[in-house]
Amino acid sequence: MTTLIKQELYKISKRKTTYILPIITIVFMFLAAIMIKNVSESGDTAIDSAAYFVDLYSGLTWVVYLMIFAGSTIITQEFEFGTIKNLLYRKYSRTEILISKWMTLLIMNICYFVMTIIVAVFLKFIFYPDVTFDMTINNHSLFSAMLMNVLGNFLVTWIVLSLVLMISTLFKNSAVSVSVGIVFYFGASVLSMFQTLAIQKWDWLKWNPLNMLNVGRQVQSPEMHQMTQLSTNSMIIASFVYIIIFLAIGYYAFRSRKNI
Amino acid sequence: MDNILEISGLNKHFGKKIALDNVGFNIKKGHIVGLVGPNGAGKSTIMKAVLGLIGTDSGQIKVEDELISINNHPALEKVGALIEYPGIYPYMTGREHLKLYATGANAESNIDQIVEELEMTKYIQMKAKSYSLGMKQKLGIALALVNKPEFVILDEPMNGLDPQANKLLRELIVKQAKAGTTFLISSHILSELGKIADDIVVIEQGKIIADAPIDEITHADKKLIILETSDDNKARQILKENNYAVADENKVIIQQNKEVTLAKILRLLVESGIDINDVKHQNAVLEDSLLQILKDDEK
Repeated sequence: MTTLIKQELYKISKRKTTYILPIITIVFMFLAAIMIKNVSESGDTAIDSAAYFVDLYSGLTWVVYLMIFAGSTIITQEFEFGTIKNLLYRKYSRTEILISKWMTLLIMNICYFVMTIIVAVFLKFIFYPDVTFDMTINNHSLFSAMLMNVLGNFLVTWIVLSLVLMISTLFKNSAVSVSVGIVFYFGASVLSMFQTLAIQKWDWLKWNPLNMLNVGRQVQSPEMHQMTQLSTNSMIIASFVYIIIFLAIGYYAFRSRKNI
Repeated sequence: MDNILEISGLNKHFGKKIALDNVGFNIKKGHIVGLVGPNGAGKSTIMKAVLGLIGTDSGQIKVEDELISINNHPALEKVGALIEYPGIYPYMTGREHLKLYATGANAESNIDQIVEELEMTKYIQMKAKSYSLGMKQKLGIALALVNKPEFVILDEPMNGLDPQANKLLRELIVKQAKAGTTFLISSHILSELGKIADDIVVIEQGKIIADAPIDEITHADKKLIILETSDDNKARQILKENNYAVADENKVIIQQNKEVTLAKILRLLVESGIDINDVKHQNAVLEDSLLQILKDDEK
């Protein structure tokens, strides 16, 4: 398994996008930090400025997109380049191959989080020197509020990612899986107003996967409960259940694919 | 154990089409086996099944006496393969590909060796997206061979190779086979396999129609005498009357052996008043005998 993960990381390290996309993310984080400072300088309190740090100056949203891209290509590229045969005919089982890809994505995800946190701390020191780590937001220190936000975002990322991986193994096409991932992630925010109304009318709709994408925000601000109609714990558990279901369907499809 | 590969009772459907029909054959260790048949006969399907890439409806495949299935095939550890077309990451160089798959303590020296043997030094540091068809094919072959596998499966390896590369590959295969490596090679270029294979398995429409040592299939020991005479029809008739086996073709073709010698035939024909204009000798070649096998099977 270690060999397989090393090989996956080696392939990823040779791709230009592995470096270009994070650089673009860092540029966008810089732009966000500068823009927010210029636009809101007059009326903003230190607490508002702290909230931007908790969101890692939009970095968390970009991490989701980076992971949608990584997840949609990690399996489909093997089919598109014909390299899937080289991967599968070796001594390793399909289960090992797929799990090594999941683990590689997990490692990438953690690296991206570490990168955005470091950049955000750097940005905070440059642009918001009056925001300090001992400030409290929703009864949490600034740093732990940020970490909770990262963890919530981690769950959101993996709900989207597990869906993307499922679509990848079913359709073998990166364009399809990347579109589904983005539409799903985007759809959550676009449809949130409509969803709130729908959930009020049909209670069971609160269990739909789009609602789980609010888990990141609800971990931070528990009053989101009124919108999602689910307790934070229920949301976390339901998120894990969806991740497991999506991964399991993808796994089953990959394992039982009879013609490569 | 003598056999590195044992296949028996293999059946496979693609929709309504029968891809493999009760396929079975064995491969002896250290042999070069040619898998021959027209396009779409099922050559790649057999190879993919051996490599656990596709499932089959029934039958079994054993490599080194271990069963192969799509989800469990540890026996493939010592197998190298190139199937259909080489799988290549366009953003990586040739050497990076080899580095990706090379394992073991001698990985680096193995890479250097195969690059040299296949004469890829000039472009091995270039990104694979700039490779020509032949270069990609060589890289695919190098990937199959880099870990010095005991059993190598090559699907149409001569595809896209120029004559020089073709010769290089044949020499490399023969050299490795002498060192103990087993090869299963498919091709529709029969003469290419005839030059190197120990055994030939012929497949048509998913069925094995011949499986024998190359000598048996090519009848390489049998020489033909081809005559041009003043009256070919009469010559054929006289030879038949004297119990010679003559092919029913336009020319006068007789199979030569210890009993049937050129001297006897010439004497008989000249004595019968037929002039001999030309005499040719020819070894039976693989293409002809294979065509014969395919023809016989249709009857």
